Amino acid sequence: MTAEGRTAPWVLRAPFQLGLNAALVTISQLLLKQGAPAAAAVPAPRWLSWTGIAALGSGWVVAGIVCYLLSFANWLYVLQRVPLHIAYPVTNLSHALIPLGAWVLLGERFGPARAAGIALIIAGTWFVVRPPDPRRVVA
Amino acid sequence: MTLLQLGLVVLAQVAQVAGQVLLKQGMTRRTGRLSRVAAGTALLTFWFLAWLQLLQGLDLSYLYPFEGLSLVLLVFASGFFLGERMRVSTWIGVALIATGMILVGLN
Repeated sequence: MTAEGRTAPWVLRAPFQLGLNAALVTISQLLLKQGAPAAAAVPAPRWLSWTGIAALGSGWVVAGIVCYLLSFANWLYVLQRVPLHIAYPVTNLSHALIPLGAWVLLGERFGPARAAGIALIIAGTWFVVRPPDPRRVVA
Repeated sequence: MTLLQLGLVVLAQVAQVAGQVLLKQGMTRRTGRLSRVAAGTALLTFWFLAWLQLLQGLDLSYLYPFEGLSLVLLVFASGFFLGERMRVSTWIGVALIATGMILVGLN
C-alpha cells in the first residue's frame, strides 16, 4: 500500500475500500436476483435478446446496475492502490456473501455443499490478505 | 449447456481477465491510461451483459466452475502481464476460493 494510503482517513484506505467492493458487488447481485423473475417477463427485440437487456424493465435490476456502477468506480480506486492478485480474489468474497445474503434477506436455503463452499471462500480470502510472515521472503 | 452458451461463457471469462489486466494497467501507468481504462471497461461491460444473459438460462453449477477458472487465470495474468510477485499463501488462498466457488454452485 502507498504512503498516501497510510495517512488517509480509514474510509479512504485500501483495506476498507476493498471490503466495500465485495459488499457493493454482493448488494448489486442480490438486487439483480430479486429483479430477475420480473425481468424475464419483459420482451426484448430478438437481435438484442442475447444481452439480457429486457432486464432493464425491472426497478430491482436498475437499482442493481446502479450498485454495480458504484462498485466499478470503487474498483478503479482500489486498483490504483492494491496489486490485482490480491484485490481480485478478495472481491470474489462476494461469492460467499451472496448466498449468505440470499439466505438472510431472500429466505433462500442452501445445502451442506454450498455451506462448505462458503467456508472455503472465506478461509481462502484470509490466506490472500494475511500479512506476510516477516521470517519468509516474498517469492 | 449448448455450444453457443459454452462459447459465450468462455468468451465472457476471457473478457473478464483481459479487462481487469487492462484496467489495472490503465490505473497505474503514467501514459496510455485512458485507452486502457476504456478498453478494459468495454470488455467488462461485455462480461456483465453476457453474465446477465447466461444467468437467465443456466444453473449456477454450470457457471461457477468457469468463475473459479477465471480467478486462477487472472492471478496467473497478474504475474505474467503485470509482473506482480505472489506469495505461496496467495496460491493456497486462490485454490481454496476457486474450490469454494465450485461447491457454492453445486446445489
